[in-house]
Amino acid sequence: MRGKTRKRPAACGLLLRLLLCAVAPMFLFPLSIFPQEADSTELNVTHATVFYGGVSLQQDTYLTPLRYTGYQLSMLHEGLRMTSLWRGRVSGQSLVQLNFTSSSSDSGKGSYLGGQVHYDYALHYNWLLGQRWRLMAGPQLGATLGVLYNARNSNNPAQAIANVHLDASAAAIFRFPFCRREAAVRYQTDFQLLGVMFSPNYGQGYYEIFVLQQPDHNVIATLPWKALRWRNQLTMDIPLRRSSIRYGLFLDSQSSHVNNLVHADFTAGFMVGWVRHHTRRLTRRQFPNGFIL
Amino acid sequence: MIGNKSHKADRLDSSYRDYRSYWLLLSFIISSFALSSCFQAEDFEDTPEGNMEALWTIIDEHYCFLDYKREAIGLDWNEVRGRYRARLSDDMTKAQLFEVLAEMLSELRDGHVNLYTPADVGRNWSWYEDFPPNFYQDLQDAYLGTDYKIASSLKYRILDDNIGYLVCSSFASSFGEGNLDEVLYGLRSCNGLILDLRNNSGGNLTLSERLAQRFTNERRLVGYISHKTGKGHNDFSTPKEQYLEPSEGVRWQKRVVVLTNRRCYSATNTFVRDMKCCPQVTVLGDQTGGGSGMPFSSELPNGWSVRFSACPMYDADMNHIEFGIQPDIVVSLTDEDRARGLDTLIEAARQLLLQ
Repeated sequence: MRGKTRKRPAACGLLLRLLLCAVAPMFLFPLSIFPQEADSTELNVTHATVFYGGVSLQQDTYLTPLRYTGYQLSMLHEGLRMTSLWRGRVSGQSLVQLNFTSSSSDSGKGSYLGGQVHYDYALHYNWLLGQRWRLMAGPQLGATLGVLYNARNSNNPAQAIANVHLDASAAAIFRFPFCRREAAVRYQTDFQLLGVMFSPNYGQGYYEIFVLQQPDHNVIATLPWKALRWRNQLTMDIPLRRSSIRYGLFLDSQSSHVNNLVHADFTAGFMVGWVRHHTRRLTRRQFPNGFIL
Repeated sequence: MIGNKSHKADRLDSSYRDYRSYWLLLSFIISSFALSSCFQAEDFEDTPEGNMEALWTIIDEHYCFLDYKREAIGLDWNEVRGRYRARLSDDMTKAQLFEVLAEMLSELRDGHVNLYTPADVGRNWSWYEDFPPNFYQDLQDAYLGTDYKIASSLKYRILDDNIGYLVCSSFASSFGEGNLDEVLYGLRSCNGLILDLRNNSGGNLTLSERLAQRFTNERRLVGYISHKTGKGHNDFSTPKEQYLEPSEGVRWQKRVVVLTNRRCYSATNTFVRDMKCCPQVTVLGDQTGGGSGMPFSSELPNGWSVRFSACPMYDADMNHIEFGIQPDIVVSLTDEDRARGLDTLIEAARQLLLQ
């Protein structure tokens, strides 16, 4: 039994195809049939879980024109492994980050409570420079969901944070001997290039958006001078038995200037966590060998 | 994966040194992007002048009735700034600063504009203080008696002449669809309904809409709403229609008289606007107090909180209702009736419903 088919506009179809081409490799890389660099049936995966705390500087003119300062506690989980893409020179990195922020105004009478969930997936091309250096660069696709709540506002009590962004991501890893084993120092920077974000309009209430369902420029395409996330990590992995301890510094900057509203959130902190290396046997597909970190 | 030829690394290292200046330039561009999109709001110091400027600017950029009140009451917000700045001094106390700032805000003549401090609340309540109350609690208590029913925040009973009497004294206290079903079903045998809103100073718009939906059988255009889109006094979005949808629960099909006085404000003002679009509804009493701007909040450098009207609402003909809505029948509560223990408005409503 055949159903009726509806014709899509040509531009819509082209857009769909382009979108599919851009996004599909992100999810399908494990099934790819690119030539292999190494003849191995092992998949090496590095998992790192770090906790960090730091100072936070926030401003959201939808809620109040004042800057708030406070602290942020976060957890970051990272998965890192080589893929079979591009003769095994591309690595895949997934980052899941949970943030909790508490801050207050200089007077101490206003307070923010905030929470965010970030998910990012990056594909990095790897260059090996000698035996110690590894440079990585590539695209990253990320999404953020969160809320920033002001404890004493009336019809503008909170700012909803939701965005999807495409970043340029780069990292440099230096490995060096440490107590007859290898330690690693890594610097990674992720810089937002394009994005789509949610924002209420300048004086628009959530009552209009969600109760009356009357949106007004609430989903906005952005370039770096309109909305930017810039995340920097400098970490050192020190081997300890079969895993590593990770120490590091973290600098995260999120800002936007859309609908005449300014939102800024800066965090700088210290991180500590652990890194574990896993090797999985694969039955059907082959992946390049070796751990990245 | 790390092993590679060392001479290749040396060659690349030297080429990186050559391109070091380009990396510095790239870093500068990236930093510029990062800093350009953050912290562009103005800074105000925690001094009397800084706090006044912060307050004046919040109102100037966010308050939604500046142009309307220029036409309606001759408000000149720039002139206000100069007049009140002259009253500031560096050594003034918090109480003195509060007095100046609260007076400055009272120029707006808006019940939704308040300055909150730990010691006091700045306000302009002239929208009801300058007018007769047309309501006395002891009289309402006498009509309700002691055997009235309570459905959440609603009180109701059947009067002697088989007229239903429903008191809704606030839209801040919640009531559910189930409450409304029970109340209207309980009053179904009455010849008419008096809905007493007097002294209801508002609350939640979704509650006022929930109640109004019980008095229409069809979708009705009741007004418009817009919001500011920028800092200019005239930067508004295109007004969007507000429709009143009929409730899926019990709907009242007989005549209704809505009692109002000057203390009907904010969400209650909007409720009266909606009810005036419904059939078989008569609004009786005094003009409502107004308050058609949905309030937002902000704060000053010294921590004081300020509330102001941000989203203007209009009636179905795009008229402002900020200064209230006229009733269909103007009735005032007389001293003679009060002395006899009668509420003039309730009595007038009963006569209207029995006609």
